Amino acid sequence: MSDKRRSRAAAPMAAEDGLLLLQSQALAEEEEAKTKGEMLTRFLKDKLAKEERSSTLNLHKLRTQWRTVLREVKDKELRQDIEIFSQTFARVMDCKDSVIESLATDLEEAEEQHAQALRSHLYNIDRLLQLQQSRLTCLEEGYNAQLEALKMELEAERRTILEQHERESCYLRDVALATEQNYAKNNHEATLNFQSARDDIKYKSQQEKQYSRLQLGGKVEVLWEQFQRAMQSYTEATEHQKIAFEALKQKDKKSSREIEMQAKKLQKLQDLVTATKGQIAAHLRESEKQNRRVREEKESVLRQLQELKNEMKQARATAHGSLARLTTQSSAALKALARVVEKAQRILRLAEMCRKLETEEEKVLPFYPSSLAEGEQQDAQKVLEETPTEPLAQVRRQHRSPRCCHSGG
Amino acid sequence: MVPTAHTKLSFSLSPLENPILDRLLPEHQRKVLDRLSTGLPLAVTANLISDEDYWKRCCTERWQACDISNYGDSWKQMFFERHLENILKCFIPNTTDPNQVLDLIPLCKDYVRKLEVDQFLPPVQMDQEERDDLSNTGSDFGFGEVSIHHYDLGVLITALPHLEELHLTYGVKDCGMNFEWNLFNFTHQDCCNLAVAVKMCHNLKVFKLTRSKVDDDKTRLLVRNLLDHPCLVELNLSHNLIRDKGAQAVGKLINHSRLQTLDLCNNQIHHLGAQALARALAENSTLTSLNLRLNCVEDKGGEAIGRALLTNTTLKSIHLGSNNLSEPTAMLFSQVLAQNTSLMNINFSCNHLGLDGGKQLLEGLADNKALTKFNLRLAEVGQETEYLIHQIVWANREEMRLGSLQHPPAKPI
Repeated sequence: MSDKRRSRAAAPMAAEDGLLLLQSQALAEEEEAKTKGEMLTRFLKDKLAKEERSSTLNLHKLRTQWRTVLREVKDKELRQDIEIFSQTFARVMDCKDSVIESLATDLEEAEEQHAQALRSHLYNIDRLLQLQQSRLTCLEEGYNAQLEALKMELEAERRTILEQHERESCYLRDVALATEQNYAKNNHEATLNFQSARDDIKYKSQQEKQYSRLQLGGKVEVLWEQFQRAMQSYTEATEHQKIAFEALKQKDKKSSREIEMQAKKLQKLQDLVTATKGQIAAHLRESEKQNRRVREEKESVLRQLQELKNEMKQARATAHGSLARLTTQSSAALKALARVVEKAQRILRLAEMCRKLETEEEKVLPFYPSSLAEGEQQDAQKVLEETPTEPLAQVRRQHRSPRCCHSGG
Repeated sequence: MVPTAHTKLSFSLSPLENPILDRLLPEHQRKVLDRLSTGLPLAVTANLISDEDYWKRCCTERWQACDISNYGDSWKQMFFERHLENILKCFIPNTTDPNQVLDLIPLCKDYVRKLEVDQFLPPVQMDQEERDDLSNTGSDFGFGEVSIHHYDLGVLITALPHLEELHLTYGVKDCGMNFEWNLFNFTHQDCCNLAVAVKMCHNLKVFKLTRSKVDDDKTRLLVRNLLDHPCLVELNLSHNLIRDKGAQAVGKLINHSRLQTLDLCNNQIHHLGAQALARALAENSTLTSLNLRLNCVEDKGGEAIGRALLTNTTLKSIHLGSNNLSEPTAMLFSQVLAQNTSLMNINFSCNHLGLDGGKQLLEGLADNKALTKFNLRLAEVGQETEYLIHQIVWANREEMRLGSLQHPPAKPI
């Protein structure tokens, strides 16, 4: 068993080894191929690069050579152009030089002309200025002459006025002197007259004074006595009245004080009155307001009441109506039911009566399917199916719907 | 009586032999003169009629604008002077007969005191074709060298004994489209002739030669002949081309003559010329007015003149406008203003004195009482400074005026 196993193991081992070898060989071959391929590619790349480099180098060489050739040609052309340009430039320079010279001569000419014109112009201006100056001096002289003439005139006028003034002042002085003298004389006379008159009057008045003094002295005494007597009588008469007057004065004072007090009290009361009136008014207003509010509430409540009453009435009416209907219908139904019950009772009685007359077959099968014929069965079916038109059915239907409503509402 | 006298006069064409006008009565004279025609030949009327109204009629008939204040307030003088001037202006040398002028001399020599000739015609050129031929042959010598000189005034001037003023301009007016540069040539020969003529004219007081392109050489020639002139008081060489050498010559002339007014405006005098003039000015005592406007003396020249003015005591008026002066000149002139008491009129317009220069001048002017006119227009001195300077100058002018008013006797008040 072990040999077999070994051989068997070896066989597969050998097979395995062989496989492995083959695999490794294949791998190795693959690797070799790969490396070869890589080397090839590297080689080719190198070659390519070299080729490229050589090609660029050649290209450069070609270009430089081409350029030198072109340069030579261009060089020739440029030299020709330069020559042409230098000639034209020389020509243009000559032209400009000649132009500048001609302009310089023109400028000199113009400057000379300008100088000439300036000289004549200045000469003319100077002459005009001289003329103006002479004109001004003439005017000034004329002005001065006129001024002098005016001055002379004024001086002459002044002199005449002064002379006249002198004359008139002399005249006035003489006249004044004369009047003064006259006045002095008159004055003297008048004073003398006055003094004499005064003396006369003085003397006269003195005499009168004495005489009147005497008279009046006597009168005065008489009158003084009269006056004394009158005064005494008056004082006596008025004693009583004085005293009364004093008393009344006191009373008056007291009463006035009382009046004051009373007046104050009155004032206070009046104030109170006004205050309370005010309060009353305020209360009135408040109460008015409340009344109004209450009235309004009452009215609203009444309205609500009315509405409710109306609703109630309506409901009552409807209920009444429905009730009436219900009663009628129920009575109808009762009647119908009573009939039916009668019928049923009859049927029962009959049944009872029939039981006694039953066969055995009939005891087993009480009911045969139908005694009716075909057509009659169909008619019966139709009848059963059609809606009931009898009043009881209608009432039932009616009761059903309101009941639904009532149950719903 | 009158008609007969008149007819006698008009019929007799040689009243030189019948001078009856003076023998007539004054009212008859008047009537005769009023009726005399102005077209009578000058030979007849020149020396015979001396009535101004007749000559006034002649003048107003011939010329539109007549202002006798320029002509010594005399119609006769105006007529003869203008007549002579017209002839000289239209004289074309080598074409016009010189006797035209010479014949006029005996008629007008007593009445001409001033000659203002502002145009001298050159001789007429050869025909166009001939000229072209010559230029084509390329010949360079002046084909008219002999014949481009203007009229020689020598004969005329020496024959006018009363001539006191001579104003000349060698140019052509109203050329229009016929303008050529050779119409304005003041040649050397012309200058020689003129110089000789001027030297011979012993009464000449005013000599003006303007706008004639007089350059240094011609100036020197003229000055040489004007040295020590007995009468010359005013010399005007403005609007010419005088440079430094010419100015030096003129400087020499200032001290060797009696010149009081010198006008050299619009020439080309630079600082050297100005320095020469200043040197002459420092020692001079006759010159009262010097005009150096529109030259180019600049600060060096200005300073030189300023220094000369520190010592000069006669110059009254100096015009240094438009000379490119600036601050240094102003600084020097401030000293001049402080010291000099004769300068009355200074003109510094159109320079670049600047604000500082103006302030210096103001300081210098503080004590000056003589200056009455100081022109600082466009001198860039600033408004304030100009105003203050003018205040001082006006104050001086007022004082001078009041001073002149006090000379007449005072009126009783």
